[in-house]
Amino acid sequence: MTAQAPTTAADIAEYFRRLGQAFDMLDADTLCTRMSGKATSFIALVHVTEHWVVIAVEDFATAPDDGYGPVALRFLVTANHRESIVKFGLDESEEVFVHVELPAEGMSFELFAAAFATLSEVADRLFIPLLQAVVIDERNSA
Amino acid sequence: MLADDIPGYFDQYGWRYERREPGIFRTGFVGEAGAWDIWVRATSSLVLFVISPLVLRPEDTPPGPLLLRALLKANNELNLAKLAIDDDEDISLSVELPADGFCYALFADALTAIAHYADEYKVRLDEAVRDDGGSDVDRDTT
Repeated sequence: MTAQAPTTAADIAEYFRRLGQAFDMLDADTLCTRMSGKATSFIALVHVTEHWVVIAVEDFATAPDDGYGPVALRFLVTANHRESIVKFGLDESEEVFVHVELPAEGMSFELFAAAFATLSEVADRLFIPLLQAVVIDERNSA
Repeated sequence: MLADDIPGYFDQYGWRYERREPGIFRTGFVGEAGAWDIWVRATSSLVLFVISPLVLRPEDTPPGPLLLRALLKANNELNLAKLAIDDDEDISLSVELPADGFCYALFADALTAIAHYADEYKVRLDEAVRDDGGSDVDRDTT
């Protein structure tokens, strides 16, 4: 089998153009775009490395002052099981991120478009339920 | 059919396996921190590698906040893999890759990653379970 060339940031830029998705280049390996859904809109970053393409929504939701409570944490952890491809986590600042990590080798426009659409749909669908979980935690701790 | 390529990938990787169903395989490994089964499931759209349970925890109590937070924080450190709580309330470690473009190199990356992370994170997650008040259930999960 002939090895396929790894995906580059230029490839992702071309994919965004084909999708009609406006974007900015933040640096040589990182693109930035806006995802608009029914609930809200998000800034998404696409970071390209030698081996991986990471589509990320950082700061998915603003963390409560005293951090996420057990209901919100459980919601996020179980979402990682329910949602294929998509990964939720907490970054160093305790903010929620949502990632899709794809191999740079073998990437195609169809694969990228499907992953981007999945991330956008899941982020939009779970945004309000996460806020509701945060409210429940606030009530439980009051 | 992608599932029919999996046996050859296992042979090339040098790990024994058992084909449980046409698209479902079981393998296993012994690391420094424990021994685990790895389930590999090939569908028309995804190839999934799953360890569940990664760490044993008490069956009669829900996952505590320290464990939930530890899982989400660890997800920020994992490449390719993610930690979750599944429908049985077990801690799962998984790698999900698109079937489109799947090849031996990705199979090897996935197996290597899931085995590495299982061994690396078991102790930390065991501690989180204990700190949440769970009993010590430190034994192999095979």
